[in-house]
Amino acid sequence: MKNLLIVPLTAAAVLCGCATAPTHNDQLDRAQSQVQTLSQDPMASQAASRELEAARTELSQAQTALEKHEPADEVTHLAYMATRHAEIGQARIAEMRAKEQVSQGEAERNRVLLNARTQEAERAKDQAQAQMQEAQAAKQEALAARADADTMAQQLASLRAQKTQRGMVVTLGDVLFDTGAATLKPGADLALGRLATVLQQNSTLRIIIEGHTDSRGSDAYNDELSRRRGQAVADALVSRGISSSRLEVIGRGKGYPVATNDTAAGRQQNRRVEIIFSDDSGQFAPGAEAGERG
Amino acid sequence: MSKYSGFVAVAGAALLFAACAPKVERPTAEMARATTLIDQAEKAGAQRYSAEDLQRARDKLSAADKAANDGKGEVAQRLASEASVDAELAVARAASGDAQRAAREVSRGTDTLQDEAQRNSQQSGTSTTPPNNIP
Repeated sequence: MKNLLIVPLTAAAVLCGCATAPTHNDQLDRAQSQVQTLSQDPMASQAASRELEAARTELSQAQTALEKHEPADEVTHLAYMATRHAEIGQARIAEMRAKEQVSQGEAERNRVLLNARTQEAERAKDQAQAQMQEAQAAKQEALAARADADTMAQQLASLRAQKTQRGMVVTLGDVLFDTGAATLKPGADLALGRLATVLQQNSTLRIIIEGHTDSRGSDAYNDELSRRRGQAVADALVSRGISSSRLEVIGRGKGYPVATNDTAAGRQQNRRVEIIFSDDSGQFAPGAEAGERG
Repeated sequence: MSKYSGFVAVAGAALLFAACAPKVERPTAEMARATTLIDQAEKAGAQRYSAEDLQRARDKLSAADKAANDGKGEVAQRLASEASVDAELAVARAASGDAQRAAREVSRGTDTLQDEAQRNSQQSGTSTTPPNNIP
């Protein structure tokens, strides 16, 4: 390539002698163009200052050599060196640009990664929070349920309820009534108030109110008296805000004694009102309404 | 050694004809530099990124050797210098080729990552800020 160029130039130089100076050299044109390209690059001073300086020096040497009519191959050589140094400079700049892209790319990559991780962490946090709230709600519910159960059990216990086959049963003695009467004494208020509270706080609870008598008097009289006493208790509860639909009144008469009717003490035990509680879903134990005794 | 004996012969010839011919020398230093740079270019992977420059450097180095053997010291000097600068360009282009390849890979990797992040965030219903810091 170069030789092809040198031969005609040398031939031209020989033919013309030194009479006319060769004013043109293709390699010099290329050198000028490459050096210009390099020097116009804003990164040249940063990435290729040595190459640019070498190329400029060689370019001016080549121009001087051309002006001084030095042999064309010397001009071409100097121009070639300038061209190559300019190209090396351009390659160095390209390398630096690429390296900057790499570090920018890595920074971008890290940013994206960080972003993704942050979002992931936030999602995990949200999830954990939701789970925690759920767990807390469940715990509270469980606590409340237990508290409910506790209160109901405690309340029944405070009424001295006894566990029987008919369910929890509270016995109210005849001290609530005057003998032969179905009117509640003022002293009954405390016990009835407690009973009403239990029913208010456990809205699903239902009760059967059973009236019982001792064996004195006719069956009809005792049935009627036991029913009226049960009804008096039911009325007292209704007046305390309990729906009558939750209350069932039954007069059992004298048929279900809990003690002997031969003594005054026994008969007093038999004159009573029994409150039979349903479970907390409003269901009575089997046989409760039929008055079965265990 | 053969190069060295060649050098001795040329030097001897130069001494013999010192009176009537210009003094010519074998450009040993420049040729050694070209040899080193060609070696360096080969190791840098110039065969892959700038095979043409590398081959030109090799051709010029052997031409310089031949010119030196022929007693054309000045021509040998120019050829050796040009071989060096060609090899140097081959090294520079190999380095820049490597860097550009790395840049493309990083950029591809980041794009993939970004797509993935975008998909994930769309799944979870939150949005990412679009990349806007690439000049």
